Amino acid sequence: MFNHATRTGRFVSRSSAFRAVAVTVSVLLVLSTVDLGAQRKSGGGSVKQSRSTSSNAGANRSNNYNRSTNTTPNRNTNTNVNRNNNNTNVNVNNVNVNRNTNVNRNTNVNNAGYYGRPGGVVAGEEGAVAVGRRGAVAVGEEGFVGVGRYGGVVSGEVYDSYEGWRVAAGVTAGVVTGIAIGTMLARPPAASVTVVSGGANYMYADGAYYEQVMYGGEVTYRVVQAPPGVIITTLPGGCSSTVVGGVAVSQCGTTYYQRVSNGYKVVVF
Amino acid sequence: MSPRLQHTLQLFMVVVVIAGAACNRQQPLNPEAASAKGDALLREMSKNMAAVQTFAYTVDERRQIPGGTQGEKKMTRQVTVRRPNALAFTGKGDRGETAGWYDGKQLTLVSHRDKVWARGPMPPTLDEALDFLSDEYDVEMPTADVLYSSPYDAFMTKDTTGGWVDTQKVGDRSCEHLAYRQPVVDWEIWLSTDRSLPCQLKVTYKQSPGTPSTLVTYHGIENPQVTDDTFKAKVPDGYHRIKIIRRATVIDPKLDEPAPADAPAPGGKQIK
Repeated sequence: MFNHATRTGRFVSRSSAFRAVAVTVSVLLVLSTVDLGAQRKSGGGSVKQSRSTSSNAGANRSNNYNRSTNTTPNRNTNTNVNRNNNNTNVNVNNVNVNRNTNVNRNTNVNNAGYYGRPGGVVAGEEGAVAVGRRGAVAVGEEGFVGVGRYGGVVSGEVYDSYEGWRVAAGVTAGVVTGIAIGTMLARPPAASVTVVSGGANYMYADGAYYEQVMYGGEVTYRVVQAPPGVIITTLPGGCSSTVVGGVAVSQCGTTYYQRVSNGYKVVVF
Repeated sequence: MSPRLQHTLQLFMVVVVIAGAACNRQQPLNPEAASAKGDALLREMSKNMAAVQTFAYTVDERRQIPGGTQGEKKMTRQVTVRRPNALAFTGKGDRGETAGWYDGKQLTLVSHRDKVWARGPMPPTLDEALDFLSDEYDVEMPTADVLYSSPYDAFMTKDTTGGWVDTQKVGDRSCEHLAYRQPVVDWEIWLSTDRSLPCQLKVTYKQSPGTPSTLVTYHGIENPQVTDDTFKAKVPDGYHRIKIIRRATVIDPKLDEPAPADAPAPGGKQIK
């Protein structure tokens, strides 16, 4: 698949300028998390739970390591790769969007893995579970750490609202423009609409797609990749026109939309 | 009645009231004595709760965030427990109506407001399950401490300080008031006269933004008739199943090291 090929990275060259920009953006992303605590879910558990949560907090902070390093190599260095079968030399890989953030933010160092052996990863219908005593966590390109049909692993921050995320992430200051995949909101954005793909409902707002998940015992809305086949009526801002595989599409961040009679359909090449 | 006699009677009544108030005033204990008394009361409650194999209770939970935008959130929860490995609950409050079942193998959660449900694996005992709920599913359950096989050990740590404070009324019940401090939380508990389910519990989360607190008021322990069916998940027809999200489990010393300026992503692979 196109996306997969992009992520595995056919590096032709690594521009130092790109690297500098990417590192800068990454640093800003890390800095943007420093004061996010106020926007995240706060304590509410039992006395024992609070002790456990607190001990996890330090681990979470140290695991910011991945926020600054896991983003740049694969997505900002793919220059001059011709993926157009019609050989029109359209560069579609040079997306330069840092969306791979928040990996390993909510990790639990206390538990050595109830369902796993050291370094193993257990996947099943009830939920893929990354379990490891020594760092055997699967890290995906979009921040997922193992996803099953009915389960997943925390891959992003949790905010009470989209507005809360905007403030915390620095959208208003122009630092970040897109909500990272894996980010979770206690409630969907006020302007969101329901869209359908493959029989599943998603919420859509401002270029981002959300699925309902159960997290912390409550229904939460998690940012996911654009579900193929979903049709939206209006493109989000910041899109550009391009041709991929002979198909004219609009590229909005990492998502491609094809014009259809009733709007714009998410397509994956 | 003559005015003089009336005045004398009034004076007598005032003296009686003052004397009564003085008798009811509780003498504060020195810290060592307060600690010892609190410890003994807490151990007694813990022992009694551990001995009850099947019980149920209703609680009112009020979560307050001073100065926060969320204000106060309320939830009334009905909980049924069967040791060592079963729990069922329903909840109704500001966040909608919920239900959950733990049967020693899995956890099923239902949100009636959203008409969705989710299910995930669980450890085989209640003690492990309570830890698992918090550590893996990030479920905050302020009443969890009294459900462990040893509530005393759930509450107390080596760095816990505090003890008995006084006797207070919670509703119409007279309860022993204990207060403790820990690095992460301050907590107070009001123990009932039967030293089983507490009258009330307050936890203040000192390290959380806004220093929120949760006040749990228990409405007495019940002795329900339960069967296996009590702990069997009951998902209404038409509800949609959604994913349940867990925390990743990571212990990697490398993650504690500062990140190199342009290091590649540390070892991992994508699992699908």
